[in-house]
Amino acid sequence: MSTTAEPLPELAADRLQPMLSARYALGLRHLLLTAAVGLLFVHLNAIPLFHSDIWGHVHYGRWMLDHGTLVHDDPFMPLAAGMRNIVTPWLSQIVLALAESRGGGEALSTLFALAGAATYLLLCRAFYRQSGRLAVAVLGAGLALGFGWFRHAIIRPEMFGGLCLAVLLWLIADAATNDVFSGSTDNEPQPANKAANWLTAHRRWIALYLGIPLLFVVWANLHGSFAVGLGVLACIFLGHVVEAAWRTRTFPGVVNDWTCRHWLFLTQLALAACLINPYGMELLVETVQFSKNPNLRDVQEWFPMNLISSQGGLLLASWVLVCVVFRHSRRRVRPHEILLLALFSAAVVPSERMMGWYAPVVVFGLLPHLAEIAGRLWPVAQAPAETAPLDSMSFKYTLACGMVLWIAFALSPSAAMVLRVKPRPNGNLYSPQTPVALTKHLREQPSRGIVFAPQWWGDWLAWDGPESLKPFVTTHIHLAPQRVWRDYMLIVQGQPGWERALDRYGVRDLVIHKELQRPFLTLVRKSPEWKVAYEDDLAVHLTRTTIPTAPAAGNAHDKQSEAPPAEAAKD
Amino acid sequence: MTQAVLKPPAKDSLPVLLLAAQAVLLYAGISWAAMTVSRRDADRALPPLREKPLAVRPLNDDPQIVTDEQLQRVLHKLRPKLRGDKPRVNDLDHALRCWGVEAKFDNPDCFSGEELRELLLDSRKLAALWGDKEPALLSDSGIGIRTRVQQGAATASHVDHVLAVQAEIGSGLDQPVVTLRRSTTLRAVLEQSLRDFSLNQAEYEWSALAYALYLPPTTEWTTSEGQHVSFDRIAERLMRQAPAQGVCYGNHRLHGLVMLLRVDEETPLLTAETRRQTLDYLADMTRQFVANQHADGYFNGAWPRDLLASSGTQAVPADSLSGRLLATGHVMEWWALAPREVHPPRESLVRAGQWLSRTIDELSDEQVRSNYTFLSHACRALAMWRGHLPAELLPPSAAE
Repeated sequence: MSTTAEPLPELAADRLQPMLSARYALGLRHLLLTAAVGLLFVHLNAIPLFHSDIWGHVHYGRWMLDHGTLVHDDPFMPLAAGMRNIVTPWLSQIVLALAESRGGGEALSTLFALAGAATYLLLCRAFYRQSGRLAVAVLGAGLALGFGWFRHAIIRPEMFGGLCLAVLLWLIADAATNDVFSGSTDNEPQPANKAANWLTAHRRWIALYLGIPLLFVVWANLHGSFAVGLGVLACIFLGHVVEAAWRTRTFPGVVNDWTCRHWLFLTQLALAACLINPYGMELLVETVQFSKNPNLRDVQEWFPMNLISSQGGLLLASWVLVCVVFRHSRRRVRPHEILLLALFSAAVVPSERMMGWYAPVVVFGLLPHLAEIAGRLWPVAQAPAETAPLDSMSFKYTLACGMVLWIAFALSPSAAMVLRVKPRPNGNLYSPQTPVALTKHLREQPSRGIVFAPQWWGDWLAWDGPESLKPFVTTHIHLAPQRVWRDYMLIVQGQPGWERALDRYGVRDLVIHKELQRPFLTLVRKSPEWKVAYEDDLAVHLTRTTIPTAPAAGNAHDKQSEAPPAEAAKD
Repeated sequence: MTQAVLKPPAKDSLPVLLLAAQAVLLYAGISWAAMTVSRRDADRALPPLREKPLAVRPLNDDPQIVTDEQLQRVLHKLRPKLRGDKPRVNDLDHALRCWGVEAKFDNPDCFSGEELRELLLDSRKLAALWGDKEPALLSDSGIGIRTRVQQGAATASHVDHVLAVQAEIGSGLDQPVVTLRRSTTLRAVLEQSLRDFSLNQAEYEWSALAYALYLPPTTEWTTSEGQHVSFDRIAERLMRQAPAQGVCYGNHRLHGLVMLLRVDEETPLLTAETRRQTLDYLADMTRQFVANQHADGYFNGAWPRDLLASSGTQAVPADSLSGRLLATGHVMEWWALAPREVHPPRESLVRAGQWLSRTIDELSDEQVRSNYTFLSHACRALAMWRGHLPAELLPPSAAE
C-alpha cells in the first residue's frame, strides 16, 4: 500500500477543478477591502436625501424627459424667465430623473451610494497603482474621504464629477506607473496575431488616448467640474515641462520631450472633448465665468474657507500632512505634485466648496511619498519568484467577498427596492429639514401667485408642491436677476421695505423656516398684513390679509340708490 | 518586443510643424472663446430706437361725460400757474404732460409748454430757479444721463417719469438735453434708462410706457442683468401685483397696460395670448372699479374687490378729497385711451366725468395747487373724453 501523500490515481479524476481563472482567486486583504467598500456603500445609502438642490436637478431631468429638449428658461422659477440658462449638468439631471422615475427617492439614494462607493474604489485603485501596496492605497482613500468629509454626503450631480475625477486619477496613475511614454517594454506575453500584438503593445496608449477624451466628453455633460479635470491634466503637463526644462536647459529640449508632448496632446484632446456638448464653447465660457455671478456671494458654500472651522481644520491638517510627508520622504518631490497641491490649495481657500476636489487631488500628490515612507517603515517581504502568491489567495475569499457584498446590500436601505421588503419611512429617506408636511398642506390649499420661501426649499416646493406653485427663488440662484436676489435678501433679513418688496412681486404666500429664519418669522408674526395658515415644527405658511370692500352706497347698479345720476349741463 | 513608442526627434532641433500647429490651435481656441464672450456681450447691447415716439390719440367724444362749457372751466382752472420761486419738478412734469409742448398761455404766471420742457431738460434753467444747493435733476453717468428721483422737490417723483412725459408729448430723441457738465440729447437719457432697467425695479411703469413709445418695432431686448425682456413680459409684470398696489392706487400700471394695447394696434408688440390676458385683466379691473363707485360718481383708493391690509397706510388716504380726485382722474384717463371692450357702462363714465367737473370747479386755488399733479390727470382725462388733448382745446386767446 502506498504511503505517500499523493492522491490515488483513481481519485485524481474526482478532484475539484476551478471554473474561474486563477486571477479571480482573492486574498484576505481583498476581503477586508470589500468589507470597507460595503460599509461605505451602506453608510452612503443611509444618508437621507437632502432637502435642497437635488430636487431641482431631478425636476429639470424630468422636464427634459417630458419635453424631449433641453431646458431654456428655468421652468420652475418664474422670476428667472428670460435669463440665459446653460444647463451644465443636463446629463446628470436626466440620469437622476430616470432613476427617480424607476424607484423614487430610494433609487436616488442607491445611485448616490453606488457612485460614491465606485469613486472611492477607483481612488483606491489609482492609489494602488501609485504605491503598489493595498494598505497604502486604502489609507489614501481614507485620507481622501476624511479631508473631503464635509462634502462627501452631498447628493447632487457633483457626485458624478467626483467619479469622473477618480477615473482620471486612475488613468494618470496607470500611465505614470507603466511609464507609458518612455518606451519601456511590456513584460506580458504577446499574442501571435499581428493586430492583437499591436493592440497589446499599445493598449495603455489606447487607454489614455481614447479613455481621456471619452471621459471628458461624458464629464462635460455631467457636471461643471470637468474644469477640475482639465486643471489636473494641465498640472501634469506643466510638471513634465518643468522637469524637461530642468533636465535639458533648452527650449528645444522641452519641445522635443515626448512625455511633455503626450501630456500636452492629452490635455488638448480633453479640452476639445469638453466642447462636445449642446452649448459648445459657451459651456466653457460659462464654467469659467460662473463663480463671478454676484448672487453667489451670499451663498455659504461659495464663501472663502474659514480656517477656524471644522472644514478649515481639515484643510490645515492636510497642509501639515503634506509638510510632514515631504519632509520625511526620500523620494524626489516632482514638479507636478507641487503644482497640483498649489493649484488646488489656491482654489479651496477662496471657495470652500472646492474642498471636495482638493481632497482626492492632494492625496494623489502625496501618495507616492506615503508609499515610500511606508516601504521603509514596513518593508514588504520579498517572496521568491517560484512560490506564487496564490498560496495566500483562495476562492474561499472570493466567495466571502461576494457574501460581504450581499450582506452590505441586504443591510442597506436599497434592498427594499429589490427584495420587496418594507422601505424606510419618509423620515429616514428625506432629511429632517425637508418640509414634507408643508407641501402636503400646500397641495390641499394651492397658493396664488409667487410663494416666498427660503431658497433652499424652493426646489422641493416646486417638486413636491402643487403644479401651480411658483417659488420666489430656488437654489438656481445664479439664474435669478440680480434685483430679484437683492430683494430676496432684503426680505429675509427683514430690512426696511421688506413688505413693499413682497407686494411688488405679488406675493401672497410666505413660507418661513422656523429655526433658521427666526428673526424674520418674529417680524412677520408682528405684522397685521400676514396671518398663519399652517404651522408645524419645521415651517410656517402665512397668507396675506385682505379686507373685502363692500360696494359703495348708492352703487350705479343698486336700484334703490338715493341720488339719481347727475344730469349733464346742456351745451 | 516592439518599442511601443515612436522614434524621438533630435534633441536640439525645433519641430516647426508642431509649434506652428500649436500656435494655430491656440489662436483658434482663443478666438473662438473671444467670439463667444463677445456674442454674449452683444446680446446685452441696447436695442435700436425710433427717433420720434409713437403717438396714442384719444378715441372718444362724449359731451355727456363733460360738456364744452364744463371742460373750458376745468382747463382754465388747471392752467400751469407754476411760475415763481422753486416750482416742484413733479408739478412741472405733470403740467407738461397735461398741456404738451405747444401750449401757450397769456397769463404770465403760466409756463408755456416749451418753457416747461426746457426747465426739465436744461439743468441750467432749473438751477437758476432752485439754486446750487439742490441736487440737479439730470446727472451725468459718464455714458448717459440719469434723472434723479425722490431726492427733493427739485428732482423727479418717479423713476423715468421725465422720460415718459417726453415720450407722451412727442419729443424726439434729438431733443437737446443739457446737464451742468455737457450738452447731449434725449437719446442719452433713454439709453441710460435701458441700461439701468430691471424688470423687477420698484418703479417701472413709466419706463414701460417710454419703451412702448420709443422702441417699436423692436419688441425685445436683453437687460444689463442678462434678462431677455419683451413687452409680453412687461405686461405680465404690470399685471403681477395686487390691484391698487403701485403708485396712485395702481392706476399707472393699468395706464401702462392700456398704452401697450394701443401701441399693439399700430405695430405688433404683444402676442395674441398676452393681448387677450391683458384685455381680460383690464376688464376685471373695470368691474371692480364700477362695483365700488360712489353714488356721487367718484372712485377712491378702496376700489378693488379685496384690499390688502396695508392699503390703509397709503400716502394719500383712500377716501380723502385728494384720494378721490386721484383715483377718479387716473381711471378716467386710462379709460379714455382704452379699447371699448374694457370700458365701464356709460353711466359710470358720465357720473365720474360730472363729478370731476363739478368738484374741480369748486376747488380753491390752494387746493388746486396742492393737488395739481392729480388734477393734471383729471384735466387730460376730461379733454380726451372729448377727443382732444388739453392744449388743442385752448381758446385762441387764453386771456385771464
